[in-house]
Amino acid sequence: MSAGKRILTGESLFMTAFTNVGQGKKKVSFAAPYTGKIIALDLQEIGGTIIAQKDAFLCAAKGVSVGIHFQRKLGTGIFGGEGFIMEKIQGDGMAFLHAGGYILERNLQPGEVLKIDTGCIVAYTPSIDFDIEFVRGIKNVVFGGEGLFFATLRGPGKVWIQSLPISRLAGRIVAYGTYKRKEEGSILGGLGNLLDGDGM
Amino acid sequence: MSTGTRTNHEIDYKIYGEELQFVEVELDPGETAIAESGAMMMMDDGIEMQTSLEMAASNRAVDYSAN
Repeated sequence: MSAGKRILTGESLFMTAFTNVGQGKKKVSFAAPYTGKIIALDLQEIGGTIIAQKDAFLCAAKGVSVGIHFQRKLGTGIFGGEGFIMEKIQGDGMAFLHAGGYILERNLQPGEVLKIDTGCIVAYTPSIDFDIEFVRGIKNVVFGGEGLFFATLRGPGKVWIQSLPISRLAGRIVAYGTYKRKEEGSILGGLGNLLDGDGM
Repeated sequence: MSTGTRTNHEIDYKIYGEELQFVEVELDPGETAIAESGAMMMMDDGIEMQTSLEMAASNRAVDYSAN
């Protein structure tokens, strides 16, 4: 994916390659950014392509491409919770995704429909039809706490579901206390916080 | 499973942890793994890091659109 497209997805602009330039086997580790599970996907085994939520990608073998995927259906883009843009991960090597809470992998039979909270979708194979459905019943909408829309995923295909989207966790944490920003890896670090007037 | 037809690098891996995990990727000489900037936790001496804007694009060495 070109730099411009990576800006569109809101992801970090940079990808980093880790190459073994020494002798013998070497190891490199990539850590999950919050509580959840790492999903190891053999792209060759699942057909070569998956569509993933845009911050799910963790790492992959060289040769795997991380591209852009636009939702073609207007409603899905606006109300899908994940926006128009998702990531398309293609190749025949290993790719690793990360998502929050427990991760469930489900095989949907042809025509089988799963209704799911839009934020809980981690990834799906391109054979899955992703659409949006209104929640019926005014009381469900107002008091149900699920918002106005469900995602509907129609088989055949595979879908990966997370039990705890980071946005849900973050919302709950913010509701409980003072929100203090602390950024990792920033060159300015604490100095940046001092300068922006938020205090340390 | 046949692995003879792959074009991507074949990396071995092990996932550590339960609720807070990391994945350790084992690279043979000349093999490369790619990751989002900032995801790296640790690496052995002899692994070279190269961050670039073009990285994502250059990963499309093979056109998979036929799939």
